[in-house]
Amino acid sequence: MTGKEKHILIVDDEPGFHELFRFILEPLGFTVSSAYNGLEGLERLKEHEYDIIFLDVHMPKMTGPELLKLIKGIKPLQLVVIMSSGSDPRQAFETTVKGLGAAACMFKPFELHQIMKNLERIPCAST
Amino acid sequence: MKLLTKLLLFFVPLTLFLVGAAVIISGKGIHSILVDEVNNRGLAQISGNTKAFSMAFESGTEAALLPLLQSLKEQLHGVQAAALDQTGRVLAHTNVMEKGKTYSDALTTGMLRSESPVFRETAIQGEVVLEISAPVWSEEKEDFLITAGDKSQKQRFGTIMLGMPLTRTIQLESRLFVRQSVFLILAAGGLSLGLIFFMMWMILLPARRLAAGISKVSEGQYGLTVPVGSNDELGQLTAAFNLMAGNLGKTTVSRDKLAEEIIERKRIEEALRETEEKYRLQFEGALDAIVVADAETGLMVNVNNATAKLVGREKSELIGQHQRILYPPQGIGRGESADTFEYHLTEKKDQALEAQVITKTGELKEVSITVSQLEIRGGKFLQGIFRDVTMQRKLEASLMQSDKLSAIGQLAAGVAHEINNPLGIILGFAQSVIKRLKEGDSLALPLKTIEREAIRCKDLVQNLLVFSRTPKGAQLEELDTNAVIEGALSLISAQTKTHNVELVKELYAAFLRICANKTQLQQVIINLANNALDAMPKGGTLTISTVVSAKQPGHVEIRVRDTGTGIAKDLQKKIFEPFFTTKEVGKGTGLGLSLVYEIVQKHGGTIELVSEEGKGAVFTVLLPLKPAAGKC
Repeated sequence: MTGKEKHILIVDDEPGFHELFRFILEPLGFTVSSAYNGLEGLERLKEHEYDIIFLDVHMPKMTGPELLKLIKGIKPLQLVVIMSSGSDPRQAFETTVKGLGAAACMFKPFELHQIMKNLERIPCAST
Repeated sequence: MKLLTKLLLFFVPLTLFLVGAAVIISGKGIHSILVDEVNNRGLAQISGNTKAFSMAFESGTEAALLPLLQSLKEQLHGVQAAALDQTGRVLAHTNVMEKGKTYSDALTTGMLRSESPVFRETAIQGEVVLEISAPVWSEEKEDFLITAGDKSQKQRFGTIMLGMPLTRTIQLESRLFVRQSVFLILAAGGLSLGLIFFMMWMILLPARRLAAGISKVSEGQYGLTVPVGSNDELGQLTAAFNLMAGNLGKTTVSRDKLAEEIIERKRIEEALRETEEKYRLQFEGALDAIVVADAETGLMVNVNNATAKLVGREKSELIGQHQRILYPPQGIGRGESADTFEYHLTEKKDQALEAQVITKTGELKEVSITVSQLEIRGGKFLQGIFRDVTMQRKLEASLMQSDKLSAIGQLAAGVAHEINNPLGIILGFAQSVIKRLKEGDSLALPLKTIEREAIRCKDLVQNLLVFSRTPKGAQLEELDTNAVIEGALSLISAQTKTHNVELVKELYAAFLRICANKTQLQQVIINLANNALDAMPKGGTLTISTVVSAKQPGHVEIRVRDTGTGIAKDLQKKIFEPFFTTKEVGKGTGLGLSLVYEIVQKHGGTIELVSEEGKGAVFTVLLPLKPAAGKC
């Protein structure tokens, strides 16, 4: 994917995931911003526009779903992918978060191809 | 007949007799007195005129006699008067018709001969008359010339016959007689009565008292005494009676007392019988088995119905046998030696003894025994009460299991949750580095290994989470057991072929309706089948059967039998525990059977294992049948 630089926001309390995403995505030309909890996520939202947000579920101060609701409140069309811990019951959870406005749901530990697949959701339209 | 009556019967005739006699005698007395008085009157008149009569008789003429006779008659108010000579010829008679007649009847002749006046009663012209005859003697002449010793020489001239009327006399006599009689009768009556009363008082009263006393004693009032009134025979009798009654009181139990004793004894017997009946009802009616054995010999002397039921034998098979036949022999069951009652009593009094009993068919049951000592009529016995706690123990075990599993589940969930993040990072990095490697890079191998193992961890965690995700909210629906099994078998049959195992289906002919979660139930079957296949590495037979349970009514039995290596006794208990596996490292998670256990539990059923090392294994899942009406 080429074109205008794509901006990605990772919201997760686990630093390792931030390192992972940077390692995978920066070589591909993505800018990766980080937030380590829901509140920080909100801060980041105000600073930039993001093409996709990867949102962890279990975080202190504000959980993923809570933040999702807020994001959708501000930016209804924002593309958000939820990253759930595999311990959450799959089917039901997926349905719930999609109902909240998430585009997709990944279950940790996910594989590389799952990340790539979700990146393809980013519309290529440019203005 | 009463004594009084007898007394009366005696006294009345006697009195009557005596009174009669008295009356008659007094009557006669009155008569003679009265007659005598008339006679005397007559004689007095005659003797007053002796001289005149003597002189008249001497003359012997009627003219001389008649006036005298008439005067006599008038003065005496007589009926007649006559003068007779010695022959009985009437010299003169106031009734002139009679003159010249001769009375020659015997009586008259007698009277003529008599030298003293005589009288007789006769009837003259219908009237009762007293005829008095008075001899007339010659006069004593005063004679100066009387020779000595011859003074009383007299000559009888004749007899005067005087008839005195007795009518009035008789009337008087009657009146007097009546008066006398009445007096006599009254007197006699009064005397009689008096005597009777006296006799009664003297004899009857004491006799009656005695009789009353006797009758009271005969009714049981021993020790009674009757007052002794007199010293006579009655008194002696009474005294003797008192003595007897007194003795009787000491030596004999009165009838009343006896009756009391009998009632008391009957009451005691009745109470005893009631107690025995109560005991018997309790003994036989008890739900727990009660065994009474001789303390020394150990032989069972009595067992109740519940005992027979517990061990599946007849009472007759048990009574007389040593109580050890109730317990499994050495080597069977838990392998503990069955404590005898006695050991238990000496070592563990007041505690319940946990043991196993064995039925006639070899089935083992868990029991809790409480033992006590009994003493019956001098003999020492031990009584054991056996409570079948088989179900209880199973329940306890499954509850413990459940708790364990639940705890583990929570732990697992927690761990899994924590592990997912690091795992995700490891896997992510491994894969992304691999992507950047050039063909033939030597780092490819280690990185690929990292990736593989990370994925393996992921699967492990998944399994763990499947397990921890306890089927609480599992949806139950109405299912046919056989349909569910068929569904699972389609997955299994493919595997059996590759494992060289024959799959045998013995499914019940009819619909076996249950409430279950299809997926989970199939999980159970598959899991059991997989284990079975693992137990038969060299092939064998896998039999899956469904039946209506005989030992637990209202349940269906799903049996999974294999002809594999079997499971050792000491492992059988642990087999449902989480993480327990007999498989090599990497082959088994040890979660399968514990999950199976959990699912079966949540379905309201039970799972059992019967196996012997080298002889295969049978897993039996019991699930409750759904009643026709109602929802799951």
